[in-house]
Amino acid sequence: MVLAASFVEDLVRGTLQGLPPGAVYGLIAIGFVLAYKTSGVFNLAFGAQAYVSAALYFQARNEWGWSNLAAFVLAVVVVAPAIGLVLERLIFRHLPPGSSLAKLVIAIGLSVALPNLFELIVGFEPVAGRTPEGLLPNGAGVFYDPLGLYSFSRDELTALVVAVLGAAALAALFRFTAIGLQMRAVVESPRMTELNGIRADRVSAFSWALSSFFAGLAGVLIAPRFNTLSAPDFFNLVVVAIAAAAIGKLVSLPRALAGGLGLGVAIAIIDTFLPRIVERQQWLEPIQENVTPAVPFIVLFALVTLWPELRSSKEQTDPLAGVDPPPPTPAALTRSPWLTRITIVFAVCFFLVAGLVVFLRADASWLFVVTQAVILSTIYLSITVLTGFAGQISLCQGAFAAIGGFTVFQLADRFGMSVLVGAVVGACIAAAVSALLALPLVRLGRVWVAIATLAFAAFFDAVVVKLPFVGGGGTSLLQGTRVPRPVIGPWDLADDKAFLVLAVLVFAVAAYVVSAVKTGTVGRTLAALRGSEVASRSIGISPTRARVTAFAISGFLAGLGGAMLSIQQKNVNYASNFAPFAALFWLVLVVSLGARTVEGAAYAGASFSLMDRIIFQGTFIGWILRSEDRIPGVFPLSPKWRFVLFGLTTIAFAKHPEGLVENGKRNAHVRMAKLSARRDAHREPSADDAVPGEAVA
Amino acid sequence: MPRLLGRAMAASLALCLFAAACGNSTSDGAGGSDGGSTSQAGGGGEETRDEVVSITGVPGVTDDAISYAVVGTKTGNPLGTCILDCYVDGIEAYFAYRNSEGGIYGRDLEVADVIDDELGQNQQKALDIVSSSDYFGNFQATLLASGWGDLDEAGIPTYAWGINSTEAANRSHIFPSLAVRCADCRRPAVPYIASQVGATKAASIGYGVSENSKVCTDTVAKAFDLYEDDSGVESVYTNDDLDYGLPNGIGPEVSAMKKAGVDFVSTCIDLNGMKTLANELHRQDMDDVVLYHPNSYDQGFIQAAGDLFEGDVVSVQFRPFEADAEGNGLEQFQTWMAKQDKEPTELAMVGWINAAMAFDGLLAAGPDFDRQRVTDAFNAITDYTADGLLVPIDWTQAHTPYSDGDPEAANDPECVSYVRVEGGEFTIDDPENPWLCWEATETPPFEPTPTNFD
Repeated sequence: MVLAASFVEDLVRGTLQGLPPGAVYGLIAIGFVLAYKTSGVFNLAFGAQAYVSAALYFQARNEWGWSNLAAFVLAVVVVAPAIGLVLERLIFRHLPPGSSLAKLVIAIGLSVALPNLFELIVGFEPVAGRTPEGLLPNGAGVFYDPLGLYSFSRDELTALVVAVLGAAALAALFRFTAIGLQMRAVVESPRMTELNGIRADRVSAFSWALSSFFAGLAGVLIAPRFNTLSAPDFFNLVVVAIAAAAIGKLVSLPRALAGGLGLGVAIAIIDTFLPRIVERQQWLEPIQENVTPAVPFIVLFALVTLWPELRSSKEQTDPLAGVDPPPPTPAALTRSPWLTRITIVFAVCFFLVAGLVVFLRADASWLFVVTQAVILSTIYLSITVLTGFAGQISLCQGAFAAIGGFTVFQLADRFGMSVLVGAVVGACIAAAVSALLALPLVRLGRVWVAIATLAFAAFFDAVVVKLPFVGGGGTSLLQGTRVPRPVIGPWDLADDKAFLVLAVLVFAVAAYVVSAVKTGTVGRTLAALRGSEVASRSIGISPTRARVTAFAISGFLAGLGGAMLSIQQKNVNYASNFAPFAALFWLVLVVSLGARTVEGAAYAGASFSLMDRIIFQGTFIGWILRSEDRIPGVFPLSPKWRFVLFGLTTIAFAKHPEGLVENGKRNAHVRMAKLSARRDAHREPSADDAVPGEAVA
Repeated sequence: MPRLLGRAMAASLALCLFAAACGNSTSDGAGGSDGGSTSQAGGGGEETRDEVVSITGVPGVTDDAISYAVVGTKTGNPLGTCILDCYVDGIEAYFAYRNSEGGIYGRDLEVADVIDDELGQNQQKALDIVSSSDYFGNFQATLLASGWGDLDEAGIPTYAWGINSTEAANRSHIFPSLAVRCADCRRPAVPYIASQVGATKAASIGYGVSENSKVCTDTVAKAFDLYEDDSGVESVYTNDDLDYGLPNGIGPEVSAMKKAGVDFVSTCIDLNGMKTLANELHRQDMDDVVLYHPNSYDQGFIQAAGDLFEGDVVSVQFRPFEADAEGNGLEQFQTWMAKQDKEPTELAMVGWINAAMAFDGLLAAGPDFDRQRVTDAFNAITDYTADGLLVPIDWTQAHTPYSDGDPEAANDPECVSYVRVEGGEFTIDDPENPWLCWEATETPPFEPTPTNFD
């Protein structure tokens, strides 16, 4: 009897303890659903928007000495909606409905750019231990204990109440008001809405202002949970809260709130009872150690892959999309043969000269970044195959690359195996994991594939890396995850130049394979599926087999590249190279530059590694000015400006969804055609132009 | 498609067979870019400090100056603490102190460049240093030390904040401010401190995402078990799998500790996590529980928390600021930080210690120095204390890690220093003897000896 009472008491206490974090997840999940419902954007920048308002509120309260109300009005009522309006006007208005990939990529870019831009403008720097204040006075110091089991702070109760009221009010807005209906209609098809006399752009602007206001409100309410206010913490919360949003299928606000609260409570109850069970059942210890931190990601992955309602949910498509013209043909297919030849000759000359300069003049630092660029290009080819050819969005390419890296480390460390053998084995394991992961995902919509792969990346980060047979456990404690360089016969690749040659060879082979895939059966099958899945099925194409193959090839390339990167750096360096957020960067870069060509991947690799050195450090300007000092006070640019500029390239991408490289090629093509036409028009008829018979006459 | 897969498998197999004929490089690249001198160390000493020898071909050394680069994490620092700027303050204060005495070998010591490694770019910045001829050595206060292997291979003397013991292990050119040779050895320090604050039931907690934190947590728990009879402190709660940053709070864990009667918590977490933990203890009416902080020696942080940490114990990795300063390095540190008008922070002290190591390495190498001679000379020192600021480090052994149970433990004494939080200020029990030291045996006896390393 006493035991049962104690159990009930612990259960109730656990439930109460789960409510504060649950309210945080609920708030973010509501914001997520709101953004998706009103703009069709899977808004990974939600955390960044929330952070900006939270930090501005903190700055106004603590640094500028404003009152709570004034700081709230500035941060949440004025700035947050203004950010939404600017984003809508500059970026999202230009995107066609249903362009889920473009919207996702832009949101990732903004999640990087916004916090850094804010910190540069306001001069905000995170400081350890300076816990932000809540909306109400002494919010962290006053406690209420309604049941005598667990007390809530005033800040926590405020967040809880706002989450509940917010969900109810927004649900009512969508259900009972005209603007609610209009917002949903505009997301589906702005053109069709306008046919009914509704100003789609105004409705869209209102939607963005509303969802951004909510992001700001959530940010200010969540901030007191952090002892250091920094953007990455907000992003991490967003990743967890996606599970709650998925419970609402990205459309139901009350269910998203319930999902958030449920998640918080479930984690608290597991943390309450699982250790006691493990005390009696020692064999459960690995589950406690490894699975508990991953509960949100396991829930998310399970929801996405197993919940029939999600599996059968269709992506939003514009009913008027059929009247849109088809996307333009790639420039490479329409340019004249002589232009193609000139391009090839120019490219070969450029790479020969660049290669010679690197081999003859480059120091260890330049060799490092050039080699890294080549290897990253190999990894980025995995995105070319998966996103460019198969039209799938994967946010876990970093995990596949890490599998390659860790395999090399383990095989070399435990068995003394050649790292080159390890690289191939690692690539094969990554391919197998990727294919297995693809099996439950291939029938899902693109946004859900993105969500599921993000969940996998987070799971890998929270659980798999810790496992001794992956991250090294005790071995890594003594020596880290060090990896040796290979030796091939007399060729010792400890030499950086020799290793660069190997990296180039690997990239060349990978690029050839990717080109062959594109023009071969697999590529054509994937192209057909992208065009029409139903039509493809009717001619006997299996979407499952085609997409699983694409995932496997992509995983192989990512694993191979990850292994090469680890060998190059002589260490796996998981946190620097392969953490989930870094992999999001990769996707943005490749898709922005061009996901459908090998050149796009190569440009992306070069940009990631070399842009910083050549442009942002001022090397290029130094060359031009013939000065070692570059421009003092300007170069090197603050790293924050680099993040801002990188994120804002997505604005250009919004206008050129085919990628900046392809757009550049097309523009060059048009210019050449105009030049040629003008030359033909101005040219006097010559004897050569005359028909032979006439010349004789 | 099957054909393609078949071809791919065949190609992979061929590549495997080819690669199977290959091995791994054993080159560690040891030897510096200044020739990898094999000269004997120890040609120097205080008496040679003013001798001037013309040196050519040694990077970063001119007739007037010896230049260093400082690399540290500023942008992207998730902890929000002052790292790079504070670290540089300490180095510059030390250099100002030594330069005021005429420098060394007729040359001034100078910080030529301060480089922000942006959290993830340490290796790239390290290679910039390797490629440059502008720096004789470098200082590193970084959170992710991915470039130390390259610096070591290039033979560049590297003086570092001692939080990356894994990356420093077995690298003879890397000199951390703290030499942790055995991460999993059960030592009596924490049980002893728990007994001194009157605790009887202890908990040990840490993050699951970091192997260091996990091992630290488990090792402390085992130490409580090992010394339970001596200390009278029983280990009643261990949790080594907390989520990093405690995003879900720590309510259930604190409830479990409350149920177990915990009155002392040893932690292996960051200072932000400590604040979350202290808040939760306060919420659950456990204000009397004493926390043992490994990373919170930051006066500003403690003061900003009000009375949240009152009565807690904070571990210090060098001679605490509250200890006697007269006649040791602490006095000079305080004097020169004040002269430079800089805050005497924890990282400033680490910078000062690292700069002292650089200076003492030069001094030991003698006036005809180069990188390798400085490294060799410093690695020959057996009891380095940075003028009483550190527990003596035997640099002939310090680069080599070992595990619990290794006989090596008999040569590696344990010393700790700690302060208490009283009235929002740090206080020390015995300012004249700021360290407690235990005898160097495989299982040290429980009672320590108060010690001073002036």
